[in-house]
Amino acid sequence: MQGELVADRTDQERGRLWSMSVTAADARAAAFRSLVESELDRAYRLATVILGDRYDAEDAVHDAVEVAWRRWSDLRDEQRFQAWFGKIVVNACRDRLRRSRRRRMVEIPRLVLDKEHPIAPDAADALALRDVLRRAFEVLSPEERIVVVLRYEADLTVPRVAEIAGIPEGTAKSRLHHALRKLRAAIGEDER
Amino acid sequence: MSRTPDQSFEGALRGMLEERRPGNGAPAELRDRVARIPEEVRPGAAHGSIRPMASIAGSLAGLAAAAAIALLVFGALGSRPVVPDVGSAPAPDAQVATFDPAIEGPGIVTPSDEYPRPAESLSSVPWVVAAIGGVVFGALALTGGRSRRLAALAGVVALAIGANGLSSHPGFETGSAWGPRTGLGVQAGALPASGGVDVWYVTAEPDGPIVFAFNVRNPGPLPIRLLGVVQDEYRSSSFPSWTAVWLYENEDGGLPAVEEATPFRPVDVPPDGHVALYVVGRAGACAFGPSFRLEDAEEMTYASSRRLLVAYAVLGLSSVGEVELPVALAQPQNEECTSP
Repeated sequence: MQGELVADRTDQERGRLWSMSVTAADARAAAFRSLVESELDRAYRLATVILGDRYDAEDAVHDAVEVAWRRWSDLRDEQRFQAWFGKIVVNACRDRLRRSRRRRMVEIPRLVLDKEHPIAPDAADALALRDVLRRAFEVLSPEERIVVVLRYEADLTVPRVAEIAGIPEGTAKSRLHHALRKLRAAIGEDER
Repeated sequence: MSRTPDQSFEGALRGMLEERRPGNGAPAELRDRVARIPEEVRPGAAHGSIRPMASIAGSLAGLAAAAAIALLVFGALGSRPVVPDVGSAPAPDAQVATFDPAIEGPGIVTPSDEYPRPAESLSSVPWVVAAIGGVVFGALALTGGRSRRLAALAGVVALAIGANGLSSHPGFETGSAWGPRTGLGVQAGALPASGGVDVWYVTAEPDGPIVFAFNVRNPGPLPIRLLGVVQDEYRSSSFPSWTAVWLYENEDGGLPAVEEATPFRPVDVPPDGHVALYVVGRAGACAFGPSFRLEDAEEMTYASSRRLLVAYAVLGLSSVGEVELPVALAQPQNEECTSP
């Protein structure tokens, strides 16, 4: 059978035959798939952290890949794919957060901490702190969530955060500042 | 070495974010879905060529719609509706203050060979505007997501409902008062065979003046501009014809004496408003004349009508509608008459 014959060939032979038979459109799609595949895990992780729901994250990443494919001809330099695609993923997450009707009011219990030692040192207190932070993070605006995730989860510098979020650097700083102030307020550090 | 509060906060924040991370990388199902996208979705070049075209089409349609709306507004606000001249209305300073049946012209919309009926833009323009709006909304839907498509669909439905409502506007309806107030050439009575409908008999000499009066009401909800009474283009010379209209504007639908009426001019009638019309005409060439007696009514032949054509405009768009007369208008015929 033809399939078995092809399967028996070496990678080199298959590559040669394949490269002879592809059209320009096939090559374009293959290049796109290859780049998307290389960024898919990172995009999925970013979307999951921003959205907090893996199904929403899957849909957001799918939407982002679709948008990227539609705009594929806009990308002049494939070396810029990571930043370009990251921006599209962030936009997809932002759209999803804005459209979401499921945004619920989350009660954020303030931690009562010792002013001298605001952060409790033991593990139980650390867990409680994270729980409060998690709830406080849920009620941040989509824009604030995005800058916090890009800065502290993706570990990007502020200029890179601004680039990926598609906002001026000053705006990124300001949003980050406000978001952190809200989070600090939730854990009782706002009076400091 | 102890951590500073800032370090502790940042550590807690990073820890919280780390907890939100998925356990593994992208799931296989997602990989499959995104791998199929280049086969299922049209690539950027094709999409990019549709978008500008839709945008251009939308812009052009938007300009056309804006022009149409401007025309509508202009027509609504302006004093000249898109209809033929409404008779020869007297100049504002003319010394015509009292009723005179010899005055001809005011309030009569006379058709011509080239223009047999006033332009009935009310029945067509709303649909044209709705069609243009439909193109605009269609272009918007092409360039937008699901919410924009739904909004565009809602817009098209609203336009269609609006166009249908406007184009089928009923116009005026008969008011609650009528009568041959002047008694000039019209005699009230009832034909035994008329099923109880009152009849006004035209008792004027052939070509002599006749007058009858009734009021019309605007059933709403939009104001209507009354443009005049339309001369029936199919009228035979043996039937009565209309020569002038006088009017009296009132809110309550009363019908004062004809001496209080003024020569016709286009008037805006608000919803539920009334206007009294005094229609002046001439008896047909074959009218039996003043020797008609009610006792002979059953033995006569008649030219009769129960309708009057009225020209009006809604939002500047003109139309012609029938107003059913509250009585039957019957002209006893001279059977020996040979006039066509």
